[in-house]
Amino acid sequence: MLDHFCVFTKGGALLWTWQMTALRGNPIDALVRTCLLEERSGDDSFTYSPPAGVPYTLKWTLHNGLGLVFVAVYQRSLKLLYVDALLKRVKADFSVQYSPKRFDYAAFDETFRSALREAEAQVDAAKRPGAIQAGLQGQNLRNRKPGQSGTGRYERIMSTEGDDSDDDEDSSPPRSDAAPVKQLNDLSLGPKASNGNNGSEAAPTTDKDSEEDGKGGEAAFDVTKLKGKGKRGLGGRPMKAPKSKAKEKAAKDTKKTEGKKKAQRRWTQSGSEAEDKELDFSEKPDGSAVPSESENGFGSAPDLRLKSRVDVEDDDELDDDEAEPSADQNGGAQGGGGLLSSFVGKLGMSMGGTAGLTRQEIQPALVQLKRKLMERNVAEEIAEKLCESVAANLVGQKLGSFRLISTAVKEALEAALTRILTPKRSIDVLREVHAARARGKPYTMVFVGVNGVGKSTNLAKIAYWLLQNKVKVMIAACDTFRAGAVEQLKTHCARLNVPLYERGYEKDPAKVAFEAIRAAERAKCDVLLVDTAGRMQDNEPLMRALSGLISLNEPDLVLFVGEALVGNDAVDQLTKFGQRLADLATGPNPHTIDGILLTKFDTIDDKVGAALSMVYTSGAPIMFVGCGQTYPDLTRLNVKAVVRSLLK
Amino acid sequence: MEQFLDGLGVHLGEARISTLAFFLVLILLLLGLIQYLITGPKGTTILLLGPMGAGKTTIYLQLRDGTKHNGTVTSMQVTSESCQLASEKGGRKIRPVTLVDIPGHPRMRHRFEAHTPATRGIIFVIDSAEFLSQKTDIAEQLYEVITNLAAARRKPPILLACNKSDLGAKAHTSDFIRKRIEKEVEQLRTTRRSLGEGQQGVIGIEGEVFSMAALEKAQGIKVTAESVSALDADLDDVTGFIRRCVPRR
Repeated sequence: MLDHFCVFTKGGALLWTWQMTALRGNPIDALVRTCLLEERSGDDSFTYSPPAGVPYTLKWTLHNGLGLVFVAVYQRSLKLLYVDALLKRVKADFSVQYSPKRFDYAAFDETFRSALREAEAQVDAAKRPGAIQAGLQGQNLRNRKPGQSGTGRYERIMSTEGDDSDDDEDSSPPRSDAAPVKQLNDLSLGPKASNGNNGSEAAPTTDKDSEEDGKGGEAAFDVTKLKGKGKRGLGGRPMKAPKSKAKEKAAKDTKKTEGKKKAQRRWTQSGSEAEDKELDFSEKPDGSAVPSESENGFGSAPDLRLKSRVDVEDDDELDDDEAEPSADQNGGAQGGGGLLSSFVGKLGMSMGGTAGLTRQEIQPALVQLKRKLMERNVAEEIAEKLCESVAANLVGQKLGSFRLISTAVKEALEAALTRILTPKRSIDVLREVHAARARGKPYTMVFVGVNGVGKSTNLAKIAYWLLQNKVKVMIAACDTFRAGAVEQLKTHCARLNVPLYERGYEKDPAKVAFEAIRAAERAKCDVLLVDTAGRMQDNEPLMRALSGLISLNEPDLVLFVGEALVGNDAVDQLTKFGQRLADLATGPNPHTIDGILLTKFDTIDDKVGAALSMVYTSGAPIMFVGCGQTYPDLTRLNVKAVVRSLLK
Repeated sequence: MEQFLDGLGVHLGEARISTLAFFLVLILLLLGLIQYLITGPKGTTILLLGPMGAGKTTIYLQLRDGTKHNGTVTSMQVTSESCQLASEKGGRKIRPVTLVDIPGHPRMRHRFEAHTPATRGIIFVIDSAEFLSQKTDIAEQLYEVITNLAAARRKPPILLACNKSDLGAKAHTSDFIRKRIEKEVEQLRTTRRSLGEGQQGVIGIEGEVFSMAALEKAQGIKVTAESVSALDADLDDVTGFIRRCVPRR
């Protein structure tokens, strides 16, 4: 049973609510704070655990053109299959009634109730085992009625998939029946597909598909033909892209039909850059001449900037057989002499049209930016999620006249990056130290991380910085594992003139830390820095030991030390560290990573992606940045500079 | 004389293009001037700042429409509108105010920086019932706002709007809140000046305990505190503050 449904503006004003039962806690605010504002709008659902009672699942959809958010809340134990369809339906119905100055939508109650009834009836019918066929048929019909563009398209894809499976198996129900079965399955298994993301799925498929075509024997012939067609069919039917997926499925058909279909597909998509790049692939015997030509021919701002970097161009040539984005920059020159609209389309400029941005339009720019992020060492998973979220926030938005789509996407991404990197909790350690001093307890910082990232070195740097700020520091050597670890700290302590607490090797580090805290209390130290042994995130016994250390001593700050050189592994390290600490902890409130210390920042030039990956994965802020080998080489993260070098 | 006029005519004929260009430039300049006169050199922006859940959006709706409508949720984006205050509706020739509601989410707070050049006044909204648990966060945010203003050319005044006074005994008084904030900011002054943040100037008077009076004396930023209630539409202090910042004309 649906508990709650509401519509509000992005500015925060509630417009309309419907509720079955009063909500416990405040799930809507939690959704906005921890999901939508944290660049996780691309996610599928959000789980909220109220202070008492069973957790809720929240699903949402955004209307970016009007700046509206639609949220449905229900208990997590219930698997409501109709919520996605309901959200979509309500979004369509409500946006018709919406006007910015109006706050009274009492009349919408009735519309909603009927939508809800219908959605529930659909699922009920589907559940009844005897009535599957009939129920599905009914659903099929009803689905076609509202929102022809959305559902209809979706069905078309699904129906071909249904066909496919029919061929594999031996069953032979008529086509119209097979389609909804598949569709239902999809709703329950991967609800994302119905989330209005049809385009996102289809676009990459098209690219891959066509790439293969390009490599085929008759490519050259096809290409010239298609180009001609492309020019004629300008800008027409851009919505048909998803169909290509269906085409791919049916590709095993006769040669003749295949040729025809290919032509059709390309023809429909000719306005977009994604299309022309394939032409490029097939026609380009040597990858070098064409791209440079296209740069000069097309003065679209972001392209120019990109190409001016020699290394970027090199990349283009190197991986042109696998990287789609490089091709879509080249694409412009190929179809060059078209009409004005094709020109504008290729520039990626909005002509002040009334329709909002579509997924297809922003896809090329997104792909390009995602690639750029990955070049900057952002983990692939993160870049993907981030682009997904930016897209979710952009689709449907209206652009001003003659604004480049790529600029709009870039600006949205820039805002998103800044938002992620801006710490959401105070990173003023000194202030917390002062507060701890007032309580008469030493402020305990534990340094954790994998081997060789610079835990000890940066611990010494922090000790140096604290000493400068007139704080009494003690260091505890809880790395009782690696040979020479204690001696290394001894050297640091001697140079900094700081007391060291050590119990040699082969001791339980948790106990050493425990005793060190007592010692620091006796010595009236303000801060205790605990060095731990480096460990790989998969090493179960060592992670268990670390978790024991943290739950036994309850430090004020658990600082994850990570090196800026790390790429895709950053995500793995942080998630596993966080997860292991949470799983292995004994208490009810596990203490996980509070902050990040990013080391070796001076060695990476502009590949600052690790910073983003780490913050996004853990949600913890970057509290310090190590940028050199000497004691003073410790700074705070300059968010603006990082964002700039990410998008440069 | 005639000769002179003829000469002028010839010159004009020859220089028609340059004359055209000259007029074009003149027109553009005029347009710019008109725009400047309309929007005014100082701007009419009033910022609504403060932590999440303090009631910024409710105050925004109250000021704009005179009602809180259906309630609010956490804002996701900056809302701004140039409008007549609801309490002054119907009055003629009243200067409109640009209200800007900045979300209180820590990741969105810094957005106010884009609006500072046109800002005439800042309403810093505080939840007086939850003040003690949020005081460090509030002080930190206020500190950032003040340091940002101290670097700016113009120093708009700040109103600490201690919201939710309708909660009665649970709500702290505005005087208490102001004093606690002064104390917190004093602490921040000492801790913030390390690790690359030392370049920012000192706020208040160097060597003296921080107080709002010292801040006004040294930096020219006037901070006042008032108890208000957005739910009960008890916002006279706020409208009064706005009209001191953006005169009715």
